[in-house]
Amino acid sequence: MQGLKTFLLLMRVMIPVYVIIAILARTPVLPAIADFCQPAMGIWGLPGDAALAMVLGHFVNLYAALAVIAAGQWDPGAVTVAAVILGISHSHLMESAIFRLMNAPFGLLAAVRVTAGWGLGWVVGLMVSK
Amino acid sequence: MGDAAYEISTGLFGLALKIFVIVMPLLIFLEWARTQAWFTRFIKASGAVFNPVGLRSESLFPLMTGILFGISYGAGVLIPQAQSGDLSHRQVFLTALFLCLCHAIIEDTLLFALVGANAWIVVVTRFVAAMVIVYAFSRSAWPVGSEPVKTESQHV
Repeated sequence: MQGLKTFLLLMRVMIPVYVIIAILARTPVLPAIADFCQPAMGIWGLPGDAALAMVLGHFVNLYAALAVIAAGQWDPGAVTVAAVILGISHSHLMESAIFRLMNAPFGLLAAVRVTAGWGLGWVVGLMVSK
Repeated sequence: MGDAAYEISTGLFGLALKIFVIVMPLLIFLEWARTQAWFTRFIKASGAVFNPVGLRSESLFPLMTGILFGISYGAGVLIPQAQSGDLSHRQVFLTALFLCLCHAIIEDTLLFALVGANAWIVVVTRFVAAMVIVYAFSRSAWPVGSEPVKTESQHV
């Protein structure tokens, strides 16, 4: 059953990431990383720990990024911006392999996704921040 | 320490419960819908939306499968169709271009909505971006050559 399989896959990825992020958030480690990334993430109206969600979302998958967002308790505007960026541009390692199987120019597609995702995320950020 | 463990486990349980109750039933419904005759009619009708941006009727099945179910399902339908020569290289490119920006639209959007995102903004932005970008690429022959001369109404 595909629905149940997806649920189990989601849990397998999200539970460990959520627990690790929630624990790190209570140590000085994650706050230090978040502070360091805050100026860059702030351009999109995102909190500093968004950098972690972006790295995981781009290179691993959406589920890992979602776990970071859920553990971080961001405001809805920031979640919407992250959802636009990551919805368009995510899981590049795995999905490029799929586009390659389709015989599509996967490098060009990845470049289009990164540009569109971060560009539109910025526009949506202007819309939701008031 | 005990407080942190309690906070983490209740937060995680709440998230898992929401996904189990909201996302999973929807995925099961979609799985069923895919096998129904009305779903095929729905795909054919979607040509009214996608033909104007350069996606042809033969691309609609992999396209809609990918938009609704995810990129691996879309690829699963597209790859055999491309190998059998049913889809031109150009149509494969435009379908892949659309799907790279806009796929698994229901599952992805719901998951983000569960953690607080505005679902409409996410769906509309992805869909409109895919339509505009596919249209822009469909105007030129770059990067994979022009459409073969054969059109849908003619046959060779």
